[in-house]
Amino acid sequence: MPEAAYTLGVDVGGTFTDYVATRSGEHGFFKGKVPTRPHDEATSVLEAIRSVADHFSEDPKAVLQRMQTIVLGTTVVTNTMLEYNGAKTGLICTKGFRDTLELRRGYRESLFDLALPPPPALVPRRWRLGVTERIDSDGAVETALDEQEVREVVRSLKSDGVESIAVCLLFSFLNPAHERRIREIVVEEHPDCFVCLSCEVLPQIREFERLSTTVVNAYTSPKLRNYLSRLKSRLVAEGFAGALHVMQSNGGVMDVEYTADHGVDAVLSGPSGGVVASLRLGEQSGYRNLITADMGGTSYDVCLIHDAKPEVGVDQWISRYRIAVPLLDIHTIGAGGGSIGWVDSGGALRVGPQSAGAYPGPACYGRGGELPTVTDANLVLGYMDPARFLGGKMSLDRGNAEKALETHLAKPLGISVEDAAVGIARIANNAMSNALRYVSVSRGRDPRDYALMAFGGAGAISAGVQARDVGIKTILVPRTASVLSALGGLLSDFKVSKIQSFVARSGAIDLDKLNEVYSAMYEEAESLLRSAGSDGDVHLYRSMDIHYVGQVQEVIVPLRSRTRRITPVNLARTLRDFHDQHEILYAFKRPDQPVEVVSARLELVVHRDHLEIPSEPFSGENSEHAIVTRRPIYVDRVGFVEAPIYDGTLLKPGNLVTGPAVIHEPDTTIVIYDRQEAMLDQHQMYVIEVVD
Amino acid sequence: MALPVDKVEINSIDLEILRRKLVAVAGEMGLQLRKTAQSVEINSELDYATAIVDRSGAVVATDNPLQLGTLSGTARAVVNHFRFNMRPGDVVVTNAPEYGGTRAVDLAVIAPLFVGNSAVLYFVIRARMPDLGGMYVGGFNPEATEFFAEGVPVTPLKLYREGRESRDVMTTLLLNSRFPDTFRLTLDSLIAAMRTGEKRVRDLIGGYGADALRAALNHAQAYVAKRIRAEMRGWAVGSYSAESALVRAPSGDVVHVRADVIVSEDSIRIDFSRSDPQAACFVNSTLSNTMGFAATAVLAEFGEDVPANDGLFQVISVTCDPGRVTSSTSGGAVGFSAAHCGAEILESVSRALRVARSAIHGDLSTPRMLLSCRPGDDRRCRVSLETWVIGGASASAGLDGWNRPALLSRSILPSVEEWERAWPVSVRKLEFVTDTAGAGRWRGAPATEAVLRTPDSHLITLWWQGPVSQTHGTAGGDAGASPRLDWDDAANSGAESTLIVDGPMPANLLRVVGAGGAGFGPAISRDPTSVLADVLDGIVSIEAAAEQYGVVLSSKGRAVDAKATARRRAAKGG
Repeated sequence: MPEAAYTLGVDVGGTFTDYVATRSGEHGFFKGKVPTRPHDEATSVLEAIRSVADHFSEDPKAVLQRMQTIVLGTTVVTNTMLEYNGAKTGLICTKGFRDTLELRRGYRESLFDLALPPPPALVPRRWRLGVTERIDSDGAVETALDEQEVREVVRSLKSDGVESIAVCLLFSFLNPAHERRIREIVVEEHPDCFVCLSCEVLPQIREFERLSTTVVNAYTSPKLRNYLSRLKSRLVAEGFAGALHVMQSNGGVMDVEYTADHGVDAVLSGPSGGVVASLRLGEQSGYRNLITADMGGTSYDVCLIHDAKPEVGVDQWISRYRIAVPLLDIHTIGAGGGSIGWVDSGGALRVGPQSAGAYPGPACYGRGGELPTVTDANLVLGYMDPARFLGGKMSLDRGNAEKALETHLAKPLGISVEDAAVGIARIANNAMSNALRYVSVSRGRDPRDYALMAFGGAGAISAGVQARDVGIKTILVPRTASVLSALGGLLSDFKVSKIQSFVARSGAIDLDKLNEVYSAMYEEAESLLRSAGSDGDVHLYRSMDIHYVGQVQEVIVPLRSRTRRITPVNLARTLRDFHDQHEILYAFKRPDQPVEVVSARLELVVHRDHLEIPSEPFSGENSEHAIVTRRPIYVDRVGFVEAPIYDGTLLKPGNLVTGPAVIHEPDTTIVIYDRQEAMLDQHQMYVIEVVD
Repeated sequence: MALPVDKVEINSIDLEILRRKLVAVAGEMGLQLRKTAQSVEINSELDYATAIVDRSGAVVATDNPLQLGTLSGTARAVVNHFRFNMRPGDVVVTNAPEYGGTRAVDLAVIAPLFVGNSAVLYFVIRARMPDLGGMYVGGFNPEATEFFAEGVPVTPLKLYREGRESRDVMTTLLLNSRFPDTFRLTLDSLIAAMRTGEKRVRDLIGGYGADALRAALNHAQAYVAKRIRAEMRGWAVGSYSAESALVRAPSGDVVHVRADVIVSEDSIRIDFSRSDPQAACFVNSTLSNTMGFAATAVLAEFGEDVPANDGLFQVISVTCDPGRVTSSTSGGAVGFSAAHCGAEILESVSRALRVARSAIHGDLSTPRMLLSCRPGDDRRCRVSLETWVIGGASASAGLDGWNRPALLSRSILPSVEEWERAWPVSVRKLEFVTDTAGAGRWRGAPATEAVLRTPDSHLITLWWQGPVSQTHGTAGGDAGASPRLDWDDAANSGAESTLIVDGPMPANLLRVVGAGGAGFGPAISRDPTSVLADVLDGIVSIEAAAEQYGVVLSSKGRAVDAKATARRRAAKGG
């Protein structure tokens, strides 16, 4: 009998490294968490592998030798941007435009915050250097590239110790010749330097957006490359001979080689796994329209999935730098379990954006934190079991939570501790409900048509309140809620997303030229996919960014075509679809108005063999066998009521739990509120129906 | 539409949640407008404001605090005007200064939200329209001496009556614009955004009830008033006066804006009656516009966290005798008031308040320029070159100035690539200029130089104060460099003009430099390593480092000579 093979999805988060492992010949998967070692993600990954080996009673080396695939979700890029500790980066740009990055099109995050500092410089001005050249707005060379000047600039950057160079020239999206020649010169003069071109990172009109994205890529990629190279070496040294893939911000996976050059594509490497897993698990349980909500300690990430397709982001910033590559549209607000409650000078109760973080954490953690947080409120309201936090690995101190609430909220506001806890919960829930409403209504969607997929540490505690607030009728909580991002890695496909400027008014679109653009994008994307090790059928998805003439915001419209070549009918239909999409988004359309295509988008997908989530047969409705105790929990507008507390591990598919009730899974707590009813379905998904 | 009776007893948490939801609704209306509008005035210059106002016209929530005064002034005037004559489905339109308006192109639309037989609240959107009559496109007429030369006044009119468009009113409006199509599309976008607001608020009423919503309207204003009074604690009670001046082109006459501010324990009274008389020039401000700029100066003291609504005017009062430059009457020209004398109103109040609370920031604005060109044979075209006149923000205590000052405009700069595809003007350079940042312990932001190449046949329109205006240093900091405007041929006529209206281009290559931001605190107390960094970055020259900061550099400007610096600073009295 052949020895069992393994696959591993691993998501290295800020506090914990989550993993999901499969073993051939066995149904289902094994999941778990190990602590993340800050600045040493590789060790965290190896510790996850050790845990897997322990579980299957194998030697870690043997597991690694038989590991076919590891899919990694990494926070290296995000952390590099948060901590501003990327490569020493230089910029070569068109002479006279070295300050585009700092001018930011005049954008300041706040009108009135005069104490807001500027974003830390990814490229200090001394390393932003212009060279003589100019491409005109039709793509013609107006001024030739001064190659000697380029050499001098590169030498100067090299002598200053610059280790990565971003190149962004005006109108390079129309004519990349000068950027490409600059790369050749950089390679000649400074061969060890990482170099990336804006015409390749984001060949799109609008120089600030293209430049900022290219700079983020240049700033983060060397560090990501080092990390991935070290990780791979360590894995190989331990016997790993399989494929190492990395989750991308577009929800797909790619190989290490691609990822190492495309740091900007790994900005959402972690969170995108959660969205992909939500999509697959939701679809398996019969839900194709979802809003995913990932509630962590400091943030609440929301993403809309319509008809099993996640929305694509068009206006993303990371650490105050604009990035415009195609990525999942994950909307983040600063509200989580660690968000601190406080009273402002107007006497209003506020929650966040300050967070107690993991250390010292909420007051109830007993690590010295004295300020009341959302987690403290949840504990006082009875939703959490002090003895069962993190599956019993940590206990919570209710006395500390009450003291923090009393001192900082109840006394100043003249209310009871319980009312203070209710206040924190309601204010935090309101912010989260607003986020759910935002991602749906801002895209012309009605949240009531979607199911809410709640995950992350505390997501399922308050999902019932948020769903009721925005009119959502169904909440989904997967049993794997605490490791969903890691699971997403095993459920993702190879995917390359490309975007290319193609500016033309509706009456003047050169179809041959458009087909050429798509064809070139296709060939490039296919080549990348094949290099990444994908060998299945290629699935093609195309769309166009279109707006009414004069608008500055585009609508992404899918291009419906059965053939590789786009026909006049395909194009006409896409332009017509634009008007309808515009109406869905903004409640009106202007079919008699001229429209303008701005960009062509392409996604190429090759399916991977996915982890199959096993289904189990339904058992009876009765769930009483899983009740382990009763305790008072707070129900909005009713007060505290004695509610049954369930041990989730004892529940079987088909068991019904009627609210108010609490289900404790090892890493997840699910609160079922009044007029709500939960059933575990055959795919390990809690489906909670909301009555009103 | 029948609405449910109140469902819940309202408590303080619900009130606070409702307040935030109303702010979110105003924001959503603004976002939708920005995304759908087809005019650069709205989608790029962001020259619009949305608001929810109560039955008296008091602003409860807005997406644009910079227009609080005009939103409030217009809403109150319209509500009062149609006090007994407002019906569900009505939409009122106006721009008249007598009804809280300012410039002719700033059109306001106002619609009530009815529950049963009474209006619970109103939605207001003000937006700069592409054109509404007047001598020149967009109402920018530097030679205007009266409002009629800038555009057509529209007294409050019902554009929709009970949901039906008033064709006569619409036709008249469109007929008075040079761009009736864009005008109509913009109006439709405004009304669509208001419909979205109505839908959202009706959802809130469905969840909380109309009485709860009414209570939240009051709560929102009371909350802001309370916040401001709390934040004012510690300010020195007393009377403070400050002035700011602008130079009229082409005469060079100086127009003064004077703010007399009385800070008491729980109120601020601001009076502009000592300002100069109304000018025969487009820099006058209506009283509601003046209130808005004064409110902005007050809000700037509190940062982003204090929301803007009419609760502010429960704490501060703004007055001015009629006929001053700050309270234009009798059809005075106001076309440039969003820049000047808006900036002077802002600075005069801010300077007075900085005495009352000890300065923590410097100037809030930079001098602006009106600068445009057009083909000689097309009066409908206006290429807005002033977009590229970019000044620097002044420094604050503990923070160098960066980027542009935020408080006069929310606009975003165009993309050079998009600009060049849309207009016949090429941007040849857009870069910071060395030694334009006002020196200080914390220095101002540098000014930006734009070099623009225009076609041969174009005419130019220009109004600016000349190279005498500048930002002013605070707490011992230095002024920023003055703005500049040069043609590529310095000997060319017109190079020193401060006023040109549809004149021939002196040359095809135009170089404009905004004003540098001013410094905060004495320059000789700036950390020498920060000065070195500025030299390495080309913000400060080696010579200016020595001259202004007393920092002597060695190794060809790559290191600080500590001893020589100490000597030089000692000699400068540091």
